[in-house]
Amino acid sequence: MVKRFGAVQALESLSLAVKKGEIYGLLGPNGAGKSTTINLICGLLKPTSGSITVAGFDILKNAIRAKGSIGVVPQELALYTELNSRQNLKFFGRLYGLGGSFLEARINDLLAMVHLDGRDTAPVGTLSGGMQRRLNIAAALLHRPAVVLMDEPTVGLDPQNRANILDIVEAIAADGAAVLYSTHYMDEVEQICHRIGIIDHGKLLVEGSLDELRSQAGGKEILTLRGTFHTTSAAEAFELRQGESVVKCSAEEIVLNLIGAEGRLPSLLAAAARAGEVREVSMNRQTLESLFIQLTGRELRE
Amino acid sequence: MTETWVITSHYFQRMARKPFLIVFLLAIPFTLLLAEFAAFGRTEVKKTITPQAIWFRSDGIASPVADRFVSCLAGQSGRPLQIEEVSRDVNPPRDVPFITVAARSPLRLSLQGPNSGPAFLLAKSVMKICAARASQSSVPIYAVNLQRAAPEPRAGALKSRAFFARFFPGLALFGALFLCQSMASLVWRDQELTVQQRLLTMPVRPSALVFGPVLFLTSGALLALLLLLAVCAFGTNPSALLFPSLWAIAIGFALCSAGLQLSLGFLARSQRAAQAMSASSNMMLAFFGGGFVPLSLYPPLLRNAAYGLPNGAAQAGITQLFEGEGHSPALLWRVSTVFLWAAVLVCTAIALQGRRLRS
Repeated sequence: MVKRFGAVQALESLSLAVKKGEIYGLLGPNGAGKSTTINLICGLLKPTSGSITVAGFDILKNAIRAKGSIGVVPQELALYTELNSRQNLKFFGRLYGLGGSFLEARINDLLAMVHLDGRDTAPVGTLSGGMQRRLNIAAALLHRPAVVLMDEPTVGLDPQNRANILDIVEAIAADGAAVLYSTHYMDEVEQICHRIGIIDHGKLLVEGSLDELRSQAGGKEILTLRGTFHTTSAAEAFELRQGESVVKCSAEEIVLNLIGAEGRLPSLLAAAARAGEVREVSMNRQTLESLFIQLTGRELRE
Repeated sequence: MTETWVITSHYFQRMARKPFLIVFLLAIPFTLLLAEFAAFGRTEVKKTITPQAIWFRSDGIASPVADRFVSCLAGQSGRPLQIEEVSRDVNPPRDVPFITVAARSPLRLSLQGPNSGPAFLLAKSVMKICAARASQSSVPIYAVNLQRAAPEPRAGALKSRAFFARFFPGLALFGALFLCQSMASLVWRDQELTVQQRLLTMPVRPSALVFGPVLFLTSGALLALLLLLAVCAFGTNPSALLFPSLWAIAIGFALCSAGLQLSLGFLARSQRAAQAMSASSNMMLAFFGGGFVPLSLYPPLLRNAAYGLPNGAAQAGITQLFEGEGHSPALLWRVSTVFLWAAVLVCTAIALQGRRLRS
């Protein structure tokens, strides 16, 4: 997929495939292109070039059939807050072409799945944020979609509600759906995703299982120094070895990709002191986050 | 069609959860209905006239008059009337014939004495007046003429008819526009919600997303308008409700209202902007289209311009119907104007919504 908004290149030749029963984590900072990717797949946007196939149907040529195979969980609440859970699900179910006792049974199953079976008559606006998010997910699953697209469904939730939602996502995949899970929470993708794609500036930088990505980090460590530096001399001051690199070097921050940094931390700090004034030091071992920093030159929260 | 209906019924379901709005909207026509009864009483336009008693002097000359009167009734009534001659020696004390006439509509009766011109007496109580006149007069009546006449309106009924035929249609049309605006706020709000995006990711045809709101607003405005016009018709001419022209005007104007509100909503960048635009346009239409003042009171230039507006044309058409001019050629022109506006506004709304969905 390629997507341009005028002069802005939102997605640059992004290709990915998600299998049945798989949870694919799309990891990237805000503005990386995660939501654009999801909006393209579900047909909200049209790609500038490229093609998208959902459950065998081209989203551009056979939109209705393709959309019938997709369940989208948007980042924001996409429900009628004045109606209760059951009324919301009934409306969306009818638009999916469901009805009668089948729809009622499906609504009951889903309300039980998202732990809302006792709160189905309360207006959605009166439910807690976590309950609303769980209902938001249920609304996308009414028609048993083959593909579920989830756009940061846990943003702003407390740990308990996040854990609840992650359990639901695993249950959806266990039911046979292909799940594309977009997030900027590292721990979530480490916990539930079978495969992970790291995206930044509209490019898929790397993809693979968690183990594959960890091995790509190559046992390296990320040393982040914050303070005030003379940017011209900083890079030379550290006397980097073979295989090591400067990920980022600015007047406020230096990020180094190092091998065996633990043993030579004093010399590295002394070098940093020569390059400027150090106020904060952090070192990350070979984690997904360090790989992300290594690939993108910035931390995920940026 | 199923998807369109699901979306339409969903809007009604959501509107049903706003009891204050419903009570408020229903309060308008029912308050007017009560005000109508309080001010003008019950309208008796279609009331069947009960048999009336007519007395004639029995002085030797009056008898042939009575015979002539009976034959005149039979000849001019247009259909057989039940005319019954009763015993001559019943109350009152004078020896007079007693005739009862059953008529479905009031009759005009003229009596003529030998030295006086015709005396025209009107309306329901005409028979009794005639009888009293005949019984009190020393001059024998020798000529009787009878013809169908317009009903004698009571003083209140005249005011009622004028008020409801000329003032009320403009108010009813404004009420329908106002209701449509209230209902459209649901549609405008949806434009700002993520739920609209969810609908776009579902296997729903774009036409359903376009026509669902159109059907919702049109049917709501139509129901309100018909309710208001029915209330109005009781004060004027209830049979006008049976005229296809009235239904055509109501349907056309409901489409106009829906098309206007949706077009403004799809043009506006936010719900608040849509509300402001809609309120302004409704007030402008009401002012220039005779919403508050009957078009008959407008200066000629403004009146002719108002006939070109959807509510002006609709108002003129409804007034014509309520005043009993259901077959006037001008009525067709009014209906056409309303439908032309309906087509323009609904097509604009569809085009704007289509453009919005595509973007």
